Amino acid sequence: MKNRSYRPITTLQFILVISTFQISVAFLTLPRELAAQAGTDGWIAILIGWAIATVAALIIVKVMKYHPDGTILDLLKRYLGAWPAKIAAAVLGAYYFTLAYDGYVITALIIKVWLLPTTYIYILVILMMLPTFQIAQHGLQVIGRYSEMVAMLSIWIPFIYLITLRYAHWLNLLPVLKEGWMPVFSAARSMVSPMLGIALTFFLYPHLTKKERAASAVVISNSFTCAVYLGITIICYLYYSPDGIMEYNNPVIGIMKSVEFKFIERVEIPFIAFYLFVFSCVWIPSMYIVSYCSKWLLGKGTDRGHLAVWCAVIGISIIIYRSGYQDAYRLIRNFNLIGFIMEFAMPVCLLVYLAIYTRIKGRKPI
Amino acid sequence: MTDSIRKVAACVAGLLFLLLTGCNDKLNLEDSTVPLGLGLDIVDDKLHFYVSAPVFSKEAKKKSSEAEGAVRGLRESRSLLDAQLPGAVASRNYQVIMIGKEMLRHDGWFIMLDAFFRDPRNTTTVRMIAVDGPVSEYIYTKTKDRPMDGFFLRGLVDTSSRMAETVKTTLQELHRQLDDKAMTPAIAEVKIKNGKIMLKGTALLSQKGRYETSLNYQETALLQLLRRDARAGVSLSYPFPGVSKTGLFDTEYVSFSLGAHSVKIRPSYENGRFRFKIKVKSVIVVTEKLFEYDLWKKHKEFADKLEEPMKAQIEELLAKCRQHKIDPVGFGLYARAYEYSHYKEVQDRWGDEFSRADFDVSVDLRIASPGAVQ
Repeated sequence: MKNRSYRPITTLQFILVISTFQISVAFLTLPRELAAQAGTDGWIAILIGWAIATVAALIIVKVMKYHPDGTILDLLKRYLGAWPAKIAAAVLGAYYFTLAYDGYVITALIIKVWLLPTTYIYILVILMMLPTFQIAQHGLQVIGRYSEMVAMLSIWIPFIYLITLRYAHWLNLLPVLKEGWMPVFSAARSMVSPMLGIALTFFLYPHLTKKERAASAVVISNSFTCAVYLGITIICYLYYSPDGIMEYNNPVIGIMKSVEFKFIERVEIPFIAFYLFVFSCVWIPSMYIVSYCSKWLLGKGTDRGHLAVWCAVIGISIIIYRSGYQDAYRLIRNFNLIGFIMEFAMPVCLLVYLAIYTRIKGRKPI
Repeated sequence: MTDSIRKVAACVAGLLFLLLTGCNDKLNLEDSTVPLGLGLDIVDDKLHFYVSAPVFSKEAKKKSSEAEGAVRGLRESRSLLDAQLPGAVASRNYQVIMIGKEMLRHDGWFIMLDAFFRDPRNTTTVRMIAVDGPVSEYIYTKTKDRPMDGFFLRGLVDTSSRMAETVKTTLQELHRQLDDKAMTPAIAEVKIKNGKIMLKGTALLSQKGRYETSLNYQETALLQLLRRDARAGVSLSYPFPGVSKTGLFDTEYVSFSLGAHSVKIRPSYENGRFRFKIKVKSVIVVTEKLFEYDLWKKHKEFADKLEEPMKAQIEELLAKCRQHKIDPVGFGLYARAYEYSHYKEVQDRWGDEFSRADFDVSVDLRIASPGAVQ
């Protein structure tokens, strides 16, 4: 299938596209979400989330091996027929559209609160459409390179967080498992939405240059994501007391306010401005996949044309329906369920189906 | 197709830039007044605010201008500030917040600073300072050699806290200490003496923020030591046991500075109350000794004897805290970490429980250097 739509991406790009997609929105809310359930033991839930997400990601890779040269939609068409594949295209498109929409709204809200309080949300979102269109129109290869660039631009962020360790109370973490395992397990449920992004493999896989490394790549990207989560969560728990962390809406940004340099009084301002790059790693791939799915569904037009339409749809819908922060955070909670079905349960069912199918038809996986 | 899309995109972008309203709240520095010190106090049962802003003008004899007023909330003070100070008032860059004694007498005064946290554009690294008296005195006290208020007080707190003579508690840090049920806050305290503002030490607050008691420099140093915030170089002075003063001068005194030190706190729970074993270990450098003593031959004995007054003062400090039911050191953190089941029962009244706790203090000093002379 080496035609014009084949744009190779390297293993590193593959890892970073998935990781930055996972990290972008969840990074800012995760410590608080986990603390709400499990207090200072919330970090243990990350390990559980890591294990489950890694298994799910490996299953997805396994599924894709049944049809390595096409995306999930081509695979479904081959094994399930045209109509189920069309339904899947619609569902996946809608799913990624909601992810992108939520990403836009949350980004705009954060910018509005911390940087530009008098600017309207819809103007911010419409402004974000420009880079989205510019980058997503060139397809996954450029998105992969973009993720690499974002990762490099964000290298300084962990060092700022290390400075806050000066104020750390290490005793906050003790005792481990304060209230036993139950709170940890219930917190593990909110680890679903931070791990969303593993299903990108469905679309990235055919573009991978070294497909044999896909399995190790998804493990690496999940581990990297979880290492980042673990770092920020523990740093937050060391800084905020178990009683106090719930007082802050954005503890991850708030913690930066304790850092003071001679040359810059408020580090969180450049941080948020920079963090826009990381945020963009959720909407740009999502919007690309939305346009890919809709093009696949209609079977005509170009990726770029569909992308333009979808960007316009988001812009107009934001102007018509001004979502507030309640909507955005309600969406995040719903993603725990929707995302679990889409990226964890669905691949398992698919793998079972494919295994049975190939056994009956005697067709060997390629 | 591509070209037309590009053109459309360019037009959209151009239109958007016209619509951009993010910059309409900009402020030119020359049109603004930037207050650096904020004071809050209660006068006649009403919340009063005071600000002091530097004046950047060669002609002006007085280098700062002040404003004040009675308000219900901080945010309301903005219009009063605009009315009293020239130019647009950019009140986001306070260096210090002074809280008057009268205000500190009331529980829950901290909520009045909500605006600082709710509007994230405010800086929260403001130094918190308790003033011993009404704030108005501090705002209007001027001496010729003193630079503008905010920076002066900030500098005072920053440099003194480095030597552990006071605590550098920023607004954010105070919020953190108030939120934590396992400890109570401590902030810097200043007083006016002979028309000059000077550091008094540390004000200890209750869990609700009410003023409880004060610590002098040396007690603050010990507090910092127990909090493990003290750096090497903290200086302590004690009268040496068994030596009495001769003549006019206090010749029984010996001073030393702490070198590498370790503080170990071991909590336990016995007979229905907490028990904390505190082990302070340090090498010291003798910096001043005003009486005859052979430090070369009897250095071990000297160190042992020096442990007594230090241990006594730590115990005194702890007794003071227990009497006021406050835990500025954060023993609650240890209790929570190591005796969680017992701590959990009492976490909402940790102050009371703390006052019932037992303490075993042991101090172990070792002389690293007796100094350059005999």
